[in-house]
Amino acid sequence: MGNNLSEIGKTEETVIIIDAMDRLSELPESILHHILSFLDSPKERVRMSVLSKKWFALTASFPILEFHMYDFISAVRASDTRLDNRHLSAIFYKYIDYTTSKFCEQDVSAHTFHLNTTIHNSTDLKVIDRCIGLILMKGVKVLVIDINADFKSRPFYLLPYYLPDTLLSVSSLTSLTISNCELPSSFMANAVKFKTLKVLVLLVVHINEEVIKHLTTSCPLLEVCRVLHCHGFERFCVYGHKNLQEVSINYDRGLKVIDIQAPNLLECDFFLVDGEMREEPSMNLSSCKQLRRLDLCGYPFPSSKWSAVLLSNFPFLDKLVLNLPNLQNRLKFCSPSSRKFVLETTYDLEEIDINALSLLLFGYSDIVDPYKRDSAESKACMECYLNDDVDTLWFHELRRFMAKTNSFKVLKLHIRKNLINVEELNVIHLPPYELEHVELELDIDKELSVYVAIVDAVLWCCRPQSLSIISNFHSIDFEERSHVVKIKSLIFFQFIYEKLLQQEDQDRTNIKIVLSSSIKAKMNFSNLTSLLETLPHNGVTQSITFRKEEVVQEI
Amino acid sequence: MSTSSSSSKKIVLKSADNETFEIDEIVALESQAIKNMIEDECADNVIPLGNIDSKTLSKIIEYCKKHAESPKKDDNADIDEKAVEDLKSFDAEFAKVDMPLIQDILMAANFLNIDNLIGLMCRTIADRIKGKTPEEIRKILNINKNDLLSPEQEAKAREENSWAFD
Repeated sequence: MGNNLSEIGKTEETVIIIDAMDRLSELPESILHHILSFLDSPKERVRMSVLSKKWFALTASFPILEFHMYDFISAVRASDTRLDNRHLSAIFYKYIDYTTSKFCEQDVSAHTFHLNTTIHNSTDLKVIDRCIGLILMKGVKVLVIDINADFKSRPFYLLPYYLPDTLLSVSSLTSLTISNCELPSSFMANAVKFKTLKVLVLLVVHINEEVIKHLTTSCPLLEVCRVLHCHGFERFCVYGHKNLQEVSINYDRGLKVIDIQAPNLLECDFFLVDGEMREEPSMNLSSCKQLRRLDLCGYPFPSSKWSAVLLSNFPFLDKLVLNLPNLQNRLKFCSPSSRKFVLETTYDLEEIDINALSLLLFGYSDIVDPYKRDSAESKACMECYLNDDVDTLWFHELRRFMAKTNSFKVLKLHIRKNLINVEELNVIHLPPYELEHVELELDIDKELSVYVAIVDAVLWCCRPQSLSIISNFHSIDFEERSHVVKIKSLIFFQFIYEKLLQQEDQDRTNIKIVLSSSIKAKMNFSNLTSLLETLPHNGVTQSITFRKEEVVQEI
Repeated sequence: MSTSSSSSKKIVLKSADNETFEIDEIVALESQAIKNMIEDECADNVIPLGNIDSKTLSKIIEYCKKHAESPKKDDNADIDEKAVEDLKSFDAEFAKVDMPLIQDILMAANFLNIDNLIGLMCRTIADRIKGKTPEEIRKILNINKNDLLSPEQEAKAREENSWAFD
């Protein structure tokens, strides 16, 4: 017993001694680097470096080197307002130089070297060139070089910066992004040793067709290739590439040919514009049978013949985004496997036939790019972004389109402009189309009467179980909260309430109102006046949902 | 999904101060090191952890239990959001302990190879250092006087980056 006690005493004593020690230094470097990864501002890093010999070495060998001029300068300026831009820029270049040379004295290779900067003079350029040269010698996996020229220091922006030739022999690269500078001048003359490169992004880089060929054939493991705003080629051809999964091209000088033969290609995103409006490029993706997503935008683009070929050619196509001009013939979309089909077009809904059994989202929009965010749809949804004025005819077409397609459960409308003559709808007698839910996003700065007209038109069109209005309610000036404003908004909500009730057997239906300004805060209301009192008046987007509920009859 | 505690397989962990902890195997599997031992069938009924004291070990088991119970990502998008929030607030509470214990947990988590816990402890340490002066950080981390840079080295490092010290 006594023995045990003395042992316990001993343990505690040991613990106390250990607690007073710097225990972290016993941990492996990778763990301490993990701590450093959360102290990612240059200032924190430099402060950590003077703690001790151990931390001096740890900060020096930290394998992720990131230099963002804008962030750096803003941070330093925030703590010392006396420094002007010229000084701040000099401090930044000195910091790049100091950190990179210190790193390169260590016996490790870099994971990431990310440089995003603006060059002001030839000294800046020398620092960059030396640092990139050093890091390439060490070896690096992820390299991002984005060099902007200061347009005020004229001679320098005219001179393109060519990356050092040694880049081509860095076989450790897995991801390479080059922006606003040039591939090494000896590129075509040398063997490229990017044997493990998976991601290649070229942004505003001069390349020609030979360079594209040389690059794609030299990178057998390449999975992602993005060529954005690069000039110097008319044909983009990749042949027999087994690993390529994603290709993005953004080109505004009239591309003539896109020919990609990659059996495992999953995603394509082409944004092609020809300012001179010559003909559409010829496009061959026919061997890419695995294609899941295709996003085509631009002008003039593409012909109806071409889109017909396109739609029938990819058995696994899951999401298709098309930017089509109205070509005065019907558009038939038939793809049994597609889950998402997004059309950016001026096509009338009347002209579109859809036959897609597994469709979860049909997007229809007269503006480019609203659907970039991926929404998780669980029920077949039609989502329309309307930037132009909509009128009676449009709602009439919508009503007929929904009946014809007969698969949608949810309708989402985003309206940004005016409504014309919708009161004429009331003379057309059609039963409203039944839906589970309608979501109405109103991004307009109009009188409440316009809001009322929209709701009127939507409820002419369909009979939903629930209706959400999403808006920041510009026109309801909650700041003022004058009596008049209150009455006006009350009239609006009252209107929705009654319109929804009118669609049902009024004795057997209740309307429940839910206000949510974010996912977390949801509030239920039994009457409109209390809703009105609660609406925050800070102009944030609110969602107000009216849900029909069957009244439980009391016996 | 839920494994009833009576039927599921048990693992016994023994701390440095000879305290034993019986836990469900699924909880123990949060540790990659124990998982490997079990998979290689070189784990006895009792796994001795000679370098982890009972205070630290019970903290670690508390963490693993919670993380083993909570639904894994991409099971269901709806559950996800709530579960992620729940786990986040658990982690935040869990990390509210003193620095010596944080360091013990980190060392043990490193030994047991519990990725999420390593990340949580590293982030916690970083959060306590953030915005502090080197002198303050030295106190927090208990850095020994003998380990400091030489006055000349330190002066040079500070001078090269004087903007970082105001």
